[in-house]
Formats: sequence, structure tokens, C-alpha cells
Amino acid sequence: MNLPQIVEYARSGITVGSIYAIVAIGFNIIYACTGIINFAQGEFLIVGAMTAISLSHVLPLPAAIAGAVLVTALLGGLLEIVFIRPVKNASVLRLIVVTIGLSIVIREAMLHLWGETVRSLPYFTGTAVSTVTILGAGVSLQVFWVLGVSAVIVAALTLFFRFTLTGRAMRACADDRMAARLCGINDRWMVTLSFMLSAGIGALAGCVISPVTQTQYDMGAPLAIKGFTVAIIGGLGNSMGAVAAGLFLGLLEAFVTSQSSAYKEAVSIVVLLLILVFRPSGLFTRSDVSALRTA
Amino acid sequence: MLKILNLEAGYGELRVLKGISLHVAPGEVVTVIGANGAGKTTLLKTMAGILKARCGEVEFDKRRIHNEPAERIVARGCCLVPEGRHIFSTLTVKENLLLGSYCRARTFRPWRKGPDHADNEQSIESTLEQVYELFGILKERSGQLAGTLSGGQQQMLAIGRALMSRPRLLMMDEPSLGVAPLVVKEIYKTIVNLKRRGLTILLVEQNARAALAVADRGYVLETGQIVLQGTARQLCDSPEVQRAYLGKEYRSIDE
Ligand SMILES: Nc1ncnc2c1ncn2[C@@H]1O[C@H](COP(=O)(O)OP(=O)(O)OP(=O)(O)O)[C@@H](O)[C@H]1O
Ligand SMILES: [Mg+2]
Repeated sequence: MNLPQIVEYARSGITVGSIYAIVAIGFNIIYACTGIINFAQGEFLIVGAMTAISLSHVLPLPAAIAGAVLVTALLGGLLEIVFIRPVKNASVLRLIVVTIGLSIVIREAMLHLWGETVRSLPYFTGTAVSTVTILGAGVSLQVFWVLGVSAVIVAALTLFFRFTLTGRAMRACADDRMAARLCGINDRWMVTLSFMLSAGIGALAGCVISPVTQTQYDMGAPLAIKGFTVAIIGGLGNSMGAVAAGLFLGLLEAFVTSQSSAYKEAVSIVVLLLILVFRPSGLFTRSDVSALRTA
Repeated sequence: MLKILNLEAGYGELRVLKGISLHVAPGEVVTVIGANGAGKTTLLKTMAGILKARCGEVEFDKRRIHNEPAERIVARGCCLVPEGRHIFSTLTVKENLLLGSYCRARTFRPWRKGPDHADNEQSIESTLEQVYELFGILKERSGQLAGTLSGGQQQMLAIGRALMSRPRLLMMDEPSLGVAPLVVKEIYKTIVNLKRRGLTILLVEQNARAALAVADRGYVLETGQIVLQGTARQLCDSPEVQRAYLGKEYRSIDE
């Protein structure tokens, strides 16, 4: 492998890796608040991208994306209110099964609405061929959008959870539901909010990768599997862990694929199994915090 | 201020509270004592809105609150310090305290009109100062993760967090549970302190001796029913309480 090739693989690894990280953070937000793994998380990305593509025919691109994020967030909240909240004797497992059902329903709905056509948003800046040369390799401008938006999402979420009252209330709910209610926090709305937040973030991620990877109605499930793997590697509920794990998996996939593309899909499954067997709390979990969680 | 009439509650098939009636007047410290499994925690959880009442009434400030969700009951000024502390262990001490005033931070609360309505950050800040004054250790440790506090400090944090909502009725579930004797003393000193400032307190305890020492009146709860009630003095003097909860009779039997 020569240098430009390495840069090329690193680029593709970091790009998909940061998207995996965002999907994983979507998992984490809902998991922390409810203990549910939301298997419809991948679908939120595709709904977001598809909505933005449709809106972009009538609106300028930024407005179309903003609209898509809003629509998807509302959809996420609505789904929670209609399908998750009313479940009686809701064990976590039962709710997870509900989310699997939801992912299928959303996928079929998208097939009806948008068909099987592969679509994509236009490149945010420049065109498909405009690149920046780094160490002899051409890197598409959209890659910088993906990285930038991912970084902004992570930073904004960190600030939100750390410094706003609502963010702290969500963490409180995640920590101790009953105590949160005793503080006057409406835990049911916090759960709804966690679905809206994950859906909105997912939609934004779906929009920024659309120009690079294209968008089709059934691309959500594979993304969800990768995101789930990353969430597990990073330690469920740990957003910084998710970023590290996302980049790790993305790069690993890229370089394994460079040797033989046959193993691409196997990589994440193998990693997932190894983690589950040897370090189920995740690679990047701070042991002191997780000890407090179970306490 | 608080009136409970014929309250019944339980879990699933299990009937725990079998018709409880009691009242608390403004400014009073009232204690409910009872053995393990008597239903003390169930009683407080029902009043706080965590459990649904099957039957009966809870009246707070002349308003029936037994059908209201927990969030609204806190906002009305009736706050529970739960058994086992239940602090947010992955949040810092200060964050815990600030969440205690969550119900005051929102401006849109149509059901809570009146002078408290215009609560703002400044008044929350001043409550925080008061709580820090009451428990100096919390100020010292304000940036520390709450889960790393000692048991006694966690209990103080739980009480401090409840006080942040500026309750008019403070309900406490076994504040002396799992706390060293010296800290129990400190916590009870705080209770006396709060009482002197005019706070109404409903104190649930197994530690009857400590509770009766600070209370004005008390009730004895046994298997979901009130079996005895009276002033703290009367209860201290009653032979049943002495035998079952103060452990005095044993000595005279031995002798
Ligand atoms: N979540 C629950 N589900 C089912 N039964 C419960 C639950 N919590 C308590 N109980 C039962 O209700 C009864 C009363 O329990 P409660 O916790 O109110 O007692 P308590 O007086 O607070 O006891 P302690 O002094 O040990 O705290 C007990 O028989 C207990 O087994
Ligand atoms: Mg109890």
C-alpha cells in the first residue's frame, strides 16, 4: 500500500466511522433514558435523508435539511407516544420487540412513499468531483461536512446534557426514574424527548452522508447493526466511547476491506462477538462511572 | 395541612395499606413508626404519587392530590425524601441539588399560581445557599459525583435536594437508615432546625426513639393499619410502644 492509498482508506474509514458513531449515540440516548435498544434508529437516518431530498425540490438545501430533521424528530416523538408509551407491563424486552416492529413498518412505509429508487442529496459544497488533496490523495469536500457535523452534534449534545436543566433532567431520569419523578421531572416526556432527540440527530446524520453513500429505503437496517456494534464497543450509554468506537470500527472495516472486500460485513460481527465475550461493559467504559450506575 | 382518609394501596394483588387515616397540621412534626414491612414506605410512596391509591383520599392544602402524578405533587409543595436516598449517583452534588428545584424552574405551571409562581433563578440560587448553610459538607463536595459520597453525606444530599423544591410539607422515609449514630444525630439536629423554621414534617421511622424525640405527635403502623396514635409523650409512655419499639420491657423480664 502506498501513502495515497492509505489516506484513501483512512478517509473512508473515518467517514463511515463518524456516521456509525452518530447512530450509536442515537442508540445511547434512548438506552440511557429507558434501557431500550431502539432498532428503528437506522430508519430515522433514511427517513431524514428521504424527507430532505423531497423537500430540496421546493426549498433551498439548508431549509430542506432543517425541515427533515424537524419532521423526523416529530415522527420519533409521535412513534414513542403511540407505540411505546401505552405498552402495559412494559418489560424492556417487549419494548425492544416493539421497536423492531416499528423499523419494519417504517421501512415499508418508505417503500410506498419513495419507492425503490436510489436517491441522494446534492453535495453541500462543490460537486461530486471537487476534492482537496491530502498527502497525494483526493478527499471529497463532503467528507469534511460529515466530520464537521458529527463533531458539532457530539459537542452540542455534551453541552446539552451537562449544562441545560432539561439535559440534566434527562440524565437524572436515566440514573433513577423514581427519584427524578420525586424532583418533579415528568419522566414520560423525558422518554419522548429522548426519542425526538435521537430521531433528529439520526436524520441529520442521514442527510450529511446521503451525497456520499446514496440513500435507499432499506439502508437503515445495516446502519443500525453497525451503530449497535459501535454502541456496544463504546459501552452502552457512553457517547465519547461511541465516537472512539465508531472511528475504530470504521477504520478497521476500511483496512480489512482493502485486503479483501469479502470480509467487510464480517468485521463488525466478529468485533461485536469478541466484545460481548471478553468485555461486555465496552472497551471505552470508565469503570468508576459504570460502578456507580449499577450501585 | 395534610389529611389522609381511609387510604388503601398495594402492589398487584397484595393489599398493603388497609384503610389509613391520619392528619398533619401546619408547623407540626408528625412521625409514623412501625416494624419492617408494616407499610410505611408504601404509605409515603402513595402520598407522593409514585403508587396509585386504590381507595380513600389524600388532601393537601384542601386539595385532593391522590389522583395526581408525582411531578405535580412536588410542585404543590409536598416533597418526599425516599427510603434508601435515591440520589442521582452519576451526577454531581450540585447537579443533584439543582434538579431538586426543577419544579420551580419552569414558568409555565398553570396549576401553581400565587407568590411562588414567579420563581426565578435568583431565588433558586438563594435556596441553594440555604441548603449549603444547613449541610456545609455539600458545598465542599459540590463538584463531586454524588455516588462517591459516604452514606451519611448521601442522606444529607437527599434531604438537601428535597429542600431545594422549597416544600411546605417534607416527608422523610427512614433518614437514619444505614447511617452511623453520629450522623443520625446530625440529621436529627437538622430536623429540629427545620422544625424551628416552621417547616411541616412527616417523618417515617423504625428508629422510634429518635423519631419520638423530635416529633410532636405520632402514629403506630402495624400490618397496614394505624393501631395507636397520640402525642409523642403519650406514645413514649405507652407500654405497647415501649415493648415493641423502644425495647424497654425486655430488661424487666430479664431481671
Ligand atoms: N415493589 C413491591 N412489590 C410488591 N410488594 C412490595 C413492594 N414493596 C413492598 N412490598 C410489600 O409491601 C409490604 C410493605 O412494605 P413497605 O416497604 O411499605 O414496608 P416498610 O414499613 O417501609 O418496611 P421497612 O421498615 O423495612 O422499610 C411488605 O410486605 C413488602 O413485602
Ligand atoms: Mg420502608
